[in-house]
Amino acid sequence: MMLPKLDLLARGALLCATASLCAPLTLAHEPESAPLSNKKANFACRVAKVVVMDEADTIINDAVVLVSEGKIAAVGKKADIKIPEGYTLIDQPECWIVPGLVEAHNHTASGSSDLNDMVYQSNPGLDTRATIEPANNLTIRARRGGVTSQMFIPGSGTNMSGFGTVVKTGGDTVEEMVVRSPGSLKIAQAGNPEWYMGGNGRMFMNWNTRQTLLKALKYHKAWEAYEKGESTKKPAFDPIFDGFRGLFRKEYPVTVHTQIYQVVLMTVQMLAADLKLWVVTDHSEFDGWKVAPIVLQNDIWVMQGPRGFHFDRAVRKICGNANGWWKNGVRRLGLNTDAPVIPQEELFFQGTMGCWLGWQPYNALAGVTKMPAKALGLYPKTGSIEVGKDADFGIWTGNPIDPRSACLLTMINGKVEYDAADDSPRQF
Amino acid sequence: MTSWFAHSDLDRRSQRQPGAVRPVVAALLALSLFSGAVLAAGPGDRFTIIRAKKAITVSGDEVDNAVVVISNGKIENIGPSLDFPANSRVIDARDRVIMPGLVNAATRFNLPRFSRREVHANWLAKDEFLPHAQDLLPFARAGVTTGAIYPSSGGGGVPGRALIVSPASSKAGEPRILRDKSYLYVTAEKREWREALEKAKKEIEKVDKAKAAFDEQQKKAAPASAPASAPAAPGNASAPAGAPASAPVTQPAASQPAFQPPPIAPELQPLVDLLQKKADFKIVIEVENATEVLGFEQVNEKYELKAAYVARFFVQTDLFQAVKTLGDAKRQIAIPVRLNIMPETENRYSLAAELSKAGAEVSILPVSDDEASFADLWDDLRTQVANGWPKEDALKSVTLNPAKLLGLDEQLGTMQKERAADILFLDADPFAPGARVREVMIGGEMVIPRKRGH
Amino acid sequence: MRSFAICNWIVRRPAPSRRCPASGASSRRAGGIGAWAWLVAALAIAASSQPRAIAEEPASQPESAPSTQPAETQPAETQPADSRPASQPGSAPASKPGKSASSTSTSSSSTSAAAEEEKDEYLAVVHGTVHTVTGGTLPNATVLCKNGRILDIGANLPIPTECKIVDATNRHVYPGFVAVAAAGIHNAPNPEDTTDVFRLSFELASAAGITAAAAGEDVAKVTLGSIDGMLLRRGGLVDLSGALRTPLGRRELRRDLDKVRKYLRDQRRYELEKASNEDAEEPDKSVIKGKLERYMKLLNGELLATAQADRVTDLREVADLAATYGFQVTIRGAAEGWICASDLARARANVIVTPRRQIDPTPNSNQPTGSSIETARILQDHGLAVAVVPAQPTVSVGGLAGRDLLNLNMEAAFAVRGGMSNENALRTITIDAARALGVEDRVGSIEVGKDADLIVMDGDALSYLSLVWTTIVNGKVVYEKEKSNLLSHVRPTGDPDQSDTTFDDIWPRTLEWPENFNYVAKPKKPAKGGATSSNASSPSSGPTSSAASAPASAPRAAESKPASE
Repeated sequence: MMLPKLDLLARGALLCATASLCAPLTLAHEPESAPLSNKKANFACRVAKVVVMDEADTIINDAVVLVSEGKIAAVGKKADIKIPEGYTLIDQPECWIVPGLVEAHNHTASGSSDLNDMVYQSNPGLDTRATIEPANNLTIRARRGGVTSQMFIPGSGTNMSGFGTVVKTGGDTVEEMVVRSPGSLKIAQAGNPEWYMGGNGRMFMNWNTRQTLLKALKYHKAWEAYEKGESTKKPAFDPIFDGFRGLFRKEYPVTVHTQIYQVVLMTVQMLAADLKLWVVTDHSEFDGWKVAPIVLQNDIWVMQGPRGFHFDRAVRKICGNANGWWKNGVRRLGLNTDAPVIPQEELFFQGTMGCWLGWQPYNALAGVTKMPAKALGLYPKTGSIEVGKDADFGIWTGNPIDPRSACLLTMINGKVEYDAADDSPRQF
Repeated sequence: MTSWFAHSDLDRRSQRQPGAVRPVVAALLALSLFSGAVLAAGPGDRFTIIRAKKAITVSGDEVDNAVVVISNGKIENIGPSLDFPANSRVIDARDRVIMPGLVNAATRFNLPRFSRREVHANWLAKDEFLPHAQDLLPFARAGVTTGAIYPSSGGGGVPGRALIVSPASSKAGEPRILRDKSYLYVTAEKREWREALEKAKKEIEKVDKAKAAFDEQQKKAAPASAPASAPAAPGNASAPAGAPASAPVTQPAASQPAFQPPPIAPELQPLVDLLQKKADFKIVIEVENATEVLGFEQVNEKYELKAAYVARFFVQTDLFQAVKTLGDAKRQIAIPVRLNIMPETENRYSLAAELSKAGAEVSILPVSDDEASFADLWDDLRTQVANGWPKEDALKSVTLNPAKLLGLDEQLGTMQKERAADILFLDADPFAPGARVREVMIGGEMVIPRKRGH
Repeated sequence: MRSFAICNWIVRRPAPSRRCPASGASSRRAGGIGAWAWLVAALAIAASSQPRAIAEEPASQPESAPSTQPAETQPAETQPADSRPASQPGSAPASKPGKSASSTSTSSSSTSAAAEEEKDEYLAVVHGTVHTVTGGTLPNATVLCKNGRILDIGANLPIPTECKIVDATNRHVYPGFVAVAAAGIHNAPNPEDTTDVFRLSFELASAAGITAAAAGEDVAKVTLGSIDGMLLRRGGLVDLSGALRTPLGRRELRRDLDKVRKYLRDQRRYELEKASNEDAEEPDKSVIKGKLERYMKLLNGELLATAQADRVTDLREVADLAATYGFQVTIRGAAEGWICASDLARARANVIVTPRRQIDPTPNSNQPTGSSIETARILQDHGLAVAVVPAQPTVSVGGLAGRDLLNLNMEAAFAVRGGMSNENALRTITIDAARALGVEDRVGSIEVGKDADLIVMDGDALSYLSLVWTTIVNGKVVYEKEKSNLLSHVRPTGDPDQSDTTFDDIWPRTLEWPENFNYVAKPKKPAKGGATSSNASSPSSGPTSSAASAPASAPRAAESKPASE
């Protein structure tokens, strides 16, 4: 437990420190404590504001967040929460705590190599888990931008480039990083896979994707019948299609690379309306928002990026894509970077640009935390500062959507994975 | 019945060109006096009469049931139900609408192109043109009776002087040359044009300097011969005006060498003439976008020049942004006939209509120089009219306006007296859907005659 | 430019007397000879008509086509241009016709009569918060401009009667941004002659608040819609990057600079000794040729050097060169500049930084390496003029938002992320950017006498919610947000909390989906989120109003169906 006197001193010191925004994070915890990053311990974070990102969209000012055993133990007003004995105090009275940013479309957990294994036009058996490279440079950079979870998917070189993996950006081993595997199935509808083997059209690509999925569905139904006892014949195990069973049981989504509105339209029809899959459309750019009414009817998650706007030559207007979806009624809306296209640490900046073109900052912040977490089915574990969830959050000098704010500390699974105090001058 | 006298144009015309008109007037007079029975004219003066359902004169009102009297390749009169001599050759076109032939202000017709970028303002398009080798009749079939051929250029420089031709002559089947040194065509960029003018200015200065040096020399030489020439000078000055001017001049010339100006680079001579206001030709500058128009206006103002413009292709933007500039200055401009797209949008609009509205004098060109484009001209014009361009403006843009641009509006471009008998015969009103040019008369001769059954 | 304008104005005025002789003659002729006289005359020579083809009478051309023949030919003929002395002081302004022939010179333009009638152009930006950059911030102040220059700044300035007013109430007035590196805005070389001033990139740059940009080796203004006053500085830069690329090149560069320096020193010595010592020997100037001429200008301070350098070693090399030979250098890149900031400071270098650009530390290095977002701030703290530019120095409509000059201010915001103050960060895209290009005497701040290049924004220049509402270049409004299509639909009232229009005006033109449209699934349940196709089309209902109170409305549609499993 902290003595009030010490607290005051620390606050004073931090006022000076944060006034110039550049000073390394001076931590007012017990003097004997080792660097935070080496310590998996219990933390008490005292901050100016906690953006909870819960269903009620709570915002708590002058708040304390307790972290214990890698989980969030308590969140509340400073006055309401007593910091227990033995907690390391992280006192940042001018900073915000924001849930760790969640990236729905990312290629960097492998250090950006092995992006596309373009064996066939659809490669259903592949899995990105095999390529994860813990703590590679890009992942470390992501931590500096407050990003804590990523959907690590293969590239869009083919229609079906394999299964993605949900990873945390923290952790030194693959086991530590992986949250869910398979995390999703990556499907690329159009806008890249046409270059496979010298060129395909959308007709073939749609047929190809549909046929692969129908084959997988047949396999799944055969097993289901066997498991339910409806059939006595045990189907042969097929490692290529076995991963699809979770897809049809809606254990994980299909992550679809979409671009223009026609592609979004086709995605909705084939994957959501016909095959009844859990669909997250990534990119959703250019004029994809034209399909908003149909997307709304099919409960699809829209992840938008990396292109923040579409220049409509018909009327010479710069149209914000995120705002386009939002204005047309889509609320299941998040943002993605497609890193390394946009650097992974600049996920927040996708929100910045969405707001520049008319979106609202809170929605943009939700679009990089709560919304992608929900879209990927991670929200029970992460994406908000709620008791019992993983302690994934960043301590920011202000609103993360404003590029003038910096992330000074990133905690992932209750472990300090980035601390500006060890990074002076800060790289990002 | 209307007598020819009733036509009111007589006085005006006689004021304009008394010498040229006199014999014609006499002929008309005789005609009316003797009720057309006897004509003092020889067989070459036989009148050609066109009777048409309607004549669109462009210069004035449309004339229903028109009679056009043509003599010596020129229109002598036009009016409703005119009387005409019995021995006239009558072209019965009472099912046709007639109008003046089309004038194209800048084309290559089917001439080959060469790429040459330098400044050689003295070159002539005529030198590229071989009358016997050029079959321009397809263009006549599309209704073009006069066209200015600009000299070939590789997209820069000052390629030279344009040539005005008529697709066919009244005498032989060859194209007829109307002007062999017409406007100066400029395809330079603004900077290149400015530098060319600057060079021409240097040439003028060079002559001025030489002259000054010469005068200086003369002055130095003068004191030596002063006693001799001093009395002569007042004598010269007081000489009567009617005295032969050469006498006093030659006298000092005998003792003094005449000033020999240093030669001016021939490729710059036309530019020198322009700068010295001695030129009897226009400048036509090819522009690609609005910025170029602003740039050339700026340069030309600096050198006190005026230019007409021709836009054959638009690159990044089009002339939409220069409409006001061109309109305010009442510039002549020739543009391809097509709907334009507002820069960086998909909104279509009629540039021709906008330019006309703003006050510019628009001439219309086919979208390209191939025969098909010439044939499509009418359809394209109809599209323009459907997009808000008044018919009258559209008509002028292919007849009178290009004639003005070429400086030939006193000779052709309308159907009124003393204009060349370049007449198109259409099967319907020109802006009626499907209307086609059926026959073409150039200089009083049916170049495209009526086919049997048409 | 201005003197040209005056001259043009004179020339454009019509000379009323030109046509008088001709028209007088024709009217006399018309009055003298009546129609009946013609009748008689005509009878006499009835038969003698002659065919006259147009081509056969070139001599009649001037007569028949007066428009091709300037009427000024006559005075020119009676008084041939080349016989006159080239200059007759005093005569030109006195008589206008005399000026016609060959006097294309602009020398007579500054006559007093013309100057009197030349109207002064005033423009006032009123009631704005004026951020002068160099002289503090003035609330509710007016910036008064005259003929493209800033005339006065302050509260309650008297405003001339004929003056264009730009109302900046509740808005912020900044000097126009300066893009220290730019491609695709202007054409180069000779931007003033070759740039299309209506091109999209010009409008985009204006919308981004950029009023001046580097154009090749020149610096030019973004004079949207006008070709006047575009060029700001001609060729003031010497790029040393090529010479510095290889060790051999570096050695050669130093050798060249040594030569130039020696020559300059000898020359100076000679100038000093010349008076007292007759035997003083003038140094041989013939050695200074080719690139050495440019180097001499560099050492004389007439030119600025630029060099691309990111790694410490390269930076130190450039800094040493500049310090040794005493020239002004602008360093581009400087990713590792934070490591050798004091070296750069000693060389008094200007630096062009992209704060966001990252270079990972070199592994196994025994000294600090790698980039830092704080570099810009650290260099500025060391007293260097730091300019900021995005990694992609173009204006792009490709859609990868915020990474190009369209959001130049956002790159400066990243400098704030690195610890710079807002005020100093603003300097990096205004006055210090101008300094890096050597045009700080003309642009980059709001000061009396400087060019009237201003922007009006609806908020803090470094805020991601701010947009440029008005851009003024050379005292003329070139861009207005409401009138340009580009961004007029974004926050149309300027209130960041207020939602903008829907995109119904763009697509679909109407949001009515035909009943039998193929891809409409059976209406199994009403659409979620309160936004059906019908109410999405009316701006006031549904999404618009709910968006204003975003936090409350957001979660309704967002129930996590899959997550419940």
